[in-house]
Amino acid sequence: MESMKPWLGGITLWYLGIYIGLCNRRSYSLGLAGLLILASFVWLGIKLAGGESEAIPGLSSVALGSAGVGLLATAFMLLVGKPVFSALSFALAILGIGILLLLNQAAFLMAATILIYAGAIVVTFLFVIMLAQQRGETPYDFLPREPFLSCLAGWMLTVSLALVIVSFRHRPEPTLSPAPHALEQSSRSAESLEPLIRQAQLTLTKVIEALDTKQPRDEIVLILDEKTDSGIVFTSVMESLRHPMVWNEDKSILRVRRNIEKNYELLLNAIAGVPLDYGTARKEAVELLQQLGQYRELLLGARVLTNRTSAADTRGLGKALFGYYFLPVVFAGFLLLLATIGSFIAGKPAAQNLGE
Amino acid sequence: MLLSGINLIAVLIFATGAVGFLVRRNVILMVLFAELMLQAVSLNLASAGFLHGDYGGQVLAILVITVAACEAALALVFALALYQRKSTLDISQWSQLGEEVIGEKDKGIPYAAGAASGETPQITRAL
Repeated sequence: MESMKPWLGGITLWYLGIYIGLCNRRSYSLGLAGLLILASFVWLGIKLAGGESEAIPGLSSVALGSAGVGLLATAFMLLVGKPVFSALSFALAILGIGILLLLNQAAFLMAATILIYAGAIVVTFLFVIMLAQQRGETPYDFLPREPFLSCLAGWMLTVSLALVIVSFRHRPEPTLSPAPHALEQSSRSAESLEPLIRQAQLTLTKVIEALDTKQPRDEIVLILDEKTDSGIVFTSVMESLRHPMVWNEDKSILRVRRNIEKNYELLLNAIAGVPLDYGTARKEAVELLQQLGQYRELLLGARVLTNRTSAADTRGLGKALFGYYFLPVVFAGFLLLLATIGSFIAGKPAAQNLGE
Repeated sequence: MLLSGINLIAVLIFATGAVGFLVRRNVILMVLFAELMLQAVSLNLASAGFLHGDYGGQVLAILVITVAACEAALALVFALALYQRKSTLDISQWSQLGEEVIGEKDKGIPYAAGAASGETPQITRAL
């Protein structure tokens, strides 16, 4: 609970503002609610920007701005009386969440979310609201149900969920050491190589983890720089197009083997230099990891030091969706079909009633 | 580090959506708040997927969007069907969705009226 202390004030202010805004619809009350919500956002924003907790790294200004748009639109959606305004602020909240999705390297998800929610669902809901409530507002829109208990439940839900997030601690970093025989071949000392080794271990650990757990992977392509003969990188095909490198799978394996024998440092450089992308497993990658047998034990012992790996490739997402996750996609399609049939069936008696 | 500030924001949006779902009486807005909660879950999933460098989070978020679309479609149909009976979107007006059966109280069994004589039971709706 100690780690929750910096956040409790902001969360409490947030729900206090919402409660005051819900209880009294007069202008001064709504103004006070707005001030409290703004103060809460400033409180949380300062903590989030500064990386107050060890488990919570600082957020960028773009992330904070979009989070502010999302949160304030959510509060406005809750407090405003007219349903049309609520629906429009829902669209605004979706835009804020969409930018946050983009910052999480989920570009496709952002596009899909904005198109589906702000473009289709909100418009449909607006149609229904405008057809059903042509006056624009109704008395029950201004009468909240159990605002105190609801806000209390919301506060408790937020605190309990946030407690899980905030109280998370780092795993202890492993003690790493380079392979002695590799160091003999290298021109640099163990200390200077250590950051490079860590990065390379991170990358290869994730490859090995992915192979071991059979997670979805993008193509793991073996790429060789002909000019510098600098070894391999694990990357996607798109990444290979971005890099001016020539690659040949069969040749690469041979070259890689030679490079491992030749220069450990160059290999580390090549592995550490490029972010990893996941996708379908490739036989070559497995073979390569087998070739790395002498380092495998060392690499498997390494833990994940940072999680900022790249998962931004929409192509990779598509391959994951229609590869490893094909069955859930089929299930989702079936669910959509059922929902379509269900809405036809459920809508039919209503139409008949209208006719009668 | 496995979790980020974005998770915290998603939690706040989720809980505020839950408050909205509990507080508002308009059934359309209740569905919208449920959508908002699902969206916060999607944000959490995408954030976790990003932090783990895995597409699994995004895939699950896409499935959540599918479920949300199905939910929206069905909820709108039901809302419209109920609106046509009661001419209001106030959820508190729909708290009695059961049916009243004539003769139920007398004989203690549903659909009892006319059962002995073979007649079709007369059912009146509570709404």
